[in-house]
Amino acid sequence: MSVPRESETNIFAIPILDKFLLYAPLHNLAALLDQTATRLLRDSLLSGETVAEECLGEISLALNEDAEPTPSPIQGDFVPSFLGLLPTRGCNLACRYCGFLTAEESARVMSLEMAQNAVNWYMDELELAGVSHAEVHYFGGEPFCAEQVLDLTVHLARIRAEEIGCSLRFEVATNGVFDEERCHWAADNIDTIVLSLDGPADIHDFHRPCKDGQGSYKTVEHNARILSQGSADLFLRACVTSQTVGRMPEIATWFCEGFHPKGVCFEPLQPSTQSRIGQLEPPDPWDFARNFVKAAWILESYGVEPVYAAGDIHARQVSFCPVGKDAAIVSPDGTISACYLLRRDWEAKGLDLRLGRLEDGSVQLRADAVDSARSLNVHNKPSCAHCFCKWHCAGGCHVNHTLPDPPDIYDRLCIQTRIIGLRNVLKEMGQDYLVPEWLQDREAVERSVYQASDLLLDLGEIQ
Amino acid sequence: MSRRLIYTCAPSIIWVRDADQMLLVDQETKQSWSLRGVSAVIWDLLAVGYSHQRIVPLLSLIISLPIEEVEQSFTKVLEKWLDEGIVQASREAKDGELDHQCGM
Repeated sequence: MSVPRESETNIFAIPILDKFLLYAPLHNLAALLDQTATRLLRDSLLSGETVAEECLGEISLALNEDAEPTPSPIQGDFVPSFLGLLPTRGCNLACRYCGFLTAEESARVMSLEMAQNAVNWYMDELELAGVSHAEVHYFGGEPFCAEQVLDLTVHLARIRAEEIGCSLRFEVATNGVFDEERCHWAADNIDTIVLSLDGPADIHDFHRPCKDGQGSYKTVEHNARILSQGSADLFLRACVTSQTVGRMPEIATWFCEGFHPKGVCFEPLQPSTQSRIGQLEPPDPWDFARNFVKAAWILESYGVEPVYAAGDIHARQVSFCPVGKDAAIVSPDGTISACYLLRRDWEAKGLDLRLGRLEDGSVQLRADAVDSARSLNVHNKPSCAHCFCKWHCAGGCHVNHTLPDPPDIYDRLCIQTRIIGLRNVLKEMGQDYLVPEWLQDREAVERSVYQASDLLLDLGEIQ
Repeated sequence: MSRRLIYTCAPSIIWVRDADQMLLVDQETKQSWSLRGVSAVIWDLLAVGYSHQRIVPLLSLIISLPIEEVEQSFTKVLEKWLDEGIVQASREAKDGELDHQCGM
C-alpha cells in the first residue's frame, strides 16, 4: 500500500519518552507507537507495502484515505477577511516593554471621515463578493484613546451589515484604562475583548504604569470585573517575563477565580529596546512552556481556554497572523496594510506590508502588494518544512520571528511552540497523563524538541 | 433647548443591548422601552456621556444625513425622552469636551 508523496511530508513522528508520537494533522490522526511499530510503519511507507499488523494496518489505511487539503495561500480577488482599524497609535499607558513612538506617531488619530470611509468600503466589498459575515477588529496604541472612532464605526458597521444582510462581530485589544461608562459600553457592544492584564498588582503595576508613573492595576482590575459580567467574550492577555514565568500557574488561578474569562492568553515578552531599558527579559522558553502547561491544566479545570496561538493544533494555516490572509488594516493616515505592527518594524526586517491607501473616500489596492503579502507563508519558509507544527504556527510572526538558520536549529519561539504543541496533541488524544512525566525529564523533552526533522520518513535507525 | 446642556440617562433607567435593539427599564415604575435603529444609537451615545455637540456630527456620519437634518431629529427624540423621563438635562458641557482624546 503506497501513500501519496504529498501526504508523506505531512506525517510526523516525534519521540515522547520511550515512544513515538505519530502525528498526521491533515489526516486528523495521532497515535502513540512503540519503536517497533514506528519502524514498521516507516518501512511500509518507504516500500509501499502493506503493514500486516492489525492496529498498524488501520493506521496505514487511515493514512491512505483522503486527507484535508494541504493549506495553501489565498488566490484570486482580494476580499477583506476582516477590517482592522487602528484608531490611534497613541496610548494612555507607558508600559515598560512597549516600543518607543515618536510624538507625531502617538498624536495621530484617525479622522471620523476616514473611519466612515473605511467601514463603507469594507461593507461594499463584502456585498460585492457576496460574503455573509463581517468582522471589525480594533488595534492600537489604545483604541479607546480615540473613542469616537469606535462609536462611529460600531454603529455604522451595524447599520451597513443589516443593509447587506451580513452577520457582524467586533473584537478589540485594549489596556482597559477607561471610565466605567465606557467599560459598560464595551461589555455591551463588543463581542470579543482581549484585555491586557499581566497579573496581580505587583506585576501589573511594574509592567504597565500610567504615564504619570502611577500603576494602572486598580482601574484595569475594576474594569476587568465589569467586563467579566458583560456579554462580551473576555480574554485576558498576560505578558510573561523571566521574572514572572514561575508565577504563571498562580496567575491562572487568580484570573479564573476573579474574572471568569473565556480564555487566557500568555505571551512571552517580545524583547525590544524599551524592554531592555526597563530591565525586562523574555522568559526561558523551557520554563515558559513548562509553566504554560501547568497553567493550562488549571485553566482547563475551570473551563477556561488556555491560549498560546502558535501552539493551537486546531489551526490549519499558512500564515500565523493577518498577513497573507487578506485582512485590511487601516491606519490613521489611511494606509491599508496586511499587518498591525508599526511600519518601521516591518521595514527593519526588509518587509513592505502596505497593500494600498484609502484616500478621499476611495481605495487603491496594489495587486502586487497583495500577492507579496500572500507569498509570506510557510510554504516559503524552508526551516519549517520538516516540523510537525508547520500548519499550526506557520513559522510565527513574519516581523518578530526570524527563522533559525541553519534550519535544524530551533530558537526560543520554536522550542516553546513545539513543547506546547506536543502537549496539546497528547491532550487531544486523551494522553495528558503522560505530560508530567515527560516534562520532568529534561533529556526526554530535548529529544522531542531538538529532533532535526519530524518527518516519519526521515527517522534514522530506530533502536 | 440649550446646547450647553448635557442630557444623561435618568438614574432609574437600566438598559441592555439585545441583538439589534436596546431594552430600557425604569426600575421605579417598571415601564419599559425598546429602542431600535437611530434611537438606539442616540441612547448609546448619551449613555457614554457625550454632549449634544458631539452626538450630532457623529450621528450625521453614522446615518449619512446632513447635520441640520440630524439636529432636528435628535432634538425631537430628546424632547420626547425628556417628557417620558428616560433622560434628564443634568449639567453644562465642560470646556474642551469636544476633544475626544484620553490623555495620551
